[in-house]
Amino acid sequence: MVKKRTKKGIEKGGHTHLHKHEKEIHLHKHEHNGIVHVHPHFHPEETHTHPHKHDVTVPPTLAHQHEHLEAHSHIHTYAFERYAHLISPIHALDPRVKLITFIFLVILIVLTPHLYWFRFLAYFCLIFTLIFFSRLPLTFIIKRSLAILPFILIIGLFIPLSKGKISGSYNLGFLSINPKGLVIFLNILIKSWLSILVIILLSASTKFSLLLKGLEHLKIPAVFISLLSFIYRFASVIKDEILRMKRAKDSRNFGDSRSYQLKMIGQMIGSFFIRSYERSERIYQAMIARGFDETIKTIDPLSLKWSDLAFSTIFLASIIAIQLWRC
Amino acid sequence: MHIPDGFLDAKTWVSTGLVSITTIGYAAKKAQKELGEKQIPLMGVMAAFIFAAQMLNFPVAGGTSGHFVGAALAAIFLGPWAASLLMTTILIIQSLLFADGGVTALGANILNMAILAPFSAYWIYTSLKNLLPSRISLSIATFVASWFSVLISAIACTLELATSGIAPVSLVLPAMASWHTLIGLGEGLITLTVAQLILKVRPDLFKIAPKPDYKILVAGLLISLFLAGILSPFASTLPDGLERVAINLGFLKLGEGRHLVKSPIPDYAFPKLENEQMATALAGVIGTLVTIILIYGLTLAIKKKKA
Repeated sequence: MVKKRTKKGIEKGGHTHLHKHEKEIHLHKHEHNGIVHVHPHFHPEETHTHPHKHDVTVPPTLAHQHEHLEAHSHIHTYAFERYAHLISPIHALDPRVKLITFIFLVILIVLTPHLYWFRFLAYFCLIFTLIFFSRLPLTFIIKRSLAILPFILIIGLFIPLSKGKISGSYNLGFLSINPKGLVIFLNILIKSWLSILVIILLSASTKFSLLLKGLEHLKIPAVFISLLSFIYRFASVIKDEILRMKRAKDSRNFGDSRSYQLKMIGQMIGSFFIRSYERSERIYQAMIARGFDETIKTIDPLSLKWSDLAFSTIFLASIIAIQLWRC
Repeated sequence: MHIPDGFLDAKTWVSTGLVSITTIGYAAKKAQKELGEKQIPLMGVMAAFIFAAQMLNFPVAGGTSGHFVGAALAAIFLGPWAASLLMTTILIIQSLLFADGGVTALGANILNMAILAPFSAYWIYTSLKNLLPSRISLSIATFVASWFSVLISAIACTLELATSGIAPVSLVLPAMASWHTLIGLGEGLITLTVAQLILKVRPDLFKIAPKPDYKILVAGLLISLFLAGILSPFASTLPDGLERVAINLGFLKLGEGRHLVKSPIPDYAFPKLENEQMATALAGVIGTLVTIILIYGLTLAIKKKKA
């Protein structure tokens, strides 16, 4: 079935995708600031890991005006940037400043010696102050930080097994937990959780275009910048296609033997490989038609503001204070 | 397999970070020089495709599932350098935007999934493909290459965690290796089906990848040596991994860790255990090396016969 579809797709050339999109698009009307907007609305995907913006109630902010300008672009909004349009001191920072200070903070957290519980507490306070000022919903951040759980659990399984020479252990029936193992575990738990909070704060409070520009100014090679923007633009489009095909597959009672399932997934991925290749050819032609000359140009250059300088100073001062704080 | 922040100790994330930056920096430079402007949209859309395809889960065993990785697929069709850049970009986006994999652990994750996986896959694929001039050898090459790419990522990930003193290598390595041998079979079968489909529908796509380059073989050898030579001796310090961490951090923080370490003398109480662990750690790496050398030798021998 998949094979046939692929062959058909090739015969028809580039037009297949366009027709398919048109069929599934629903016109979605809603009133916004007195103006009725009509914009394409895709079927909500049940299995979607990163819900579209339409499914989410965006909190009312001053940013709304600005947001509705961008809400109609073809780019689907990912979960990480659901709140990227809020107005807050953290959102307003220069992306370069944010990238440098936040990644520096992660490095400091990771380098903190274990048993320095007070220093961890200080980082915790610093991070939650930043989260407070960013106006990001706390539940959103906490929920996303649970991504580290699987790893934590795996490591947790090995605590009872790590045998050290320290005498005395917390005996829980057949399990004897080594205090050394427990310290390793707590150390990892705290560090990974604090670090993931910082990264979530960074990604959730910065628009992707700004983050990309920040990375570009920090001398990340141009290849990566263009690849990153391609992923951002097309991953959701391709994902929608894949999910549509997956739904079609599931609805046709897909649940045979394991090898059959793997074969079907392989054929799905294969046809998407070919589709993506053909899509890239069309995109290249479209880029050439619009005068692409191997460089990607963007408008509105970044400029450091006084607030960026103030933030960096306060941030550095608090970092130094935390380092000097004996515990 | 995306290692979060805080799991690796300083020596591990700094050293893997340096290796990854050097390799990927070289790849980026090479890409900017060699890639035509047409390659940029091709690689970009392929990166988006692999990023999206990674969501497809497949059943492994006992109710768990693995997901498609795609490093081998990218390496076979786009060449190892392009695949490496592509996988790195996916890892950067996953770590910065989806908080999947840490920022300090990015170097280690890149080494596992964007360097070791595509290069080993490419290496095995190009070596095995020429053994027999038929579709069967192409299928075998694709299958083995993608199966191995998953296995080597898992082994490298385990060694990095073990080096950081988190879990004893003698327990984790066999568990991870056997588990990913299974998951790798899924990856292998999927990539095999993809290759067969493309061979039927668009056989011309097999020619996108640049011709094999001897530099790649050298790079592969260097990376294998890095694993064998640098990571394994560290793994032997495992019984007192925590003290090791403290010593390292103490050193980094100019003696701050001094109060913590009761005895800076390494714990030599279990010489047998230590040897066992080192042996286990080395076994995987040496096995890898031997396999690669065997495959390469076999290819050379057959090529000579043909000539």
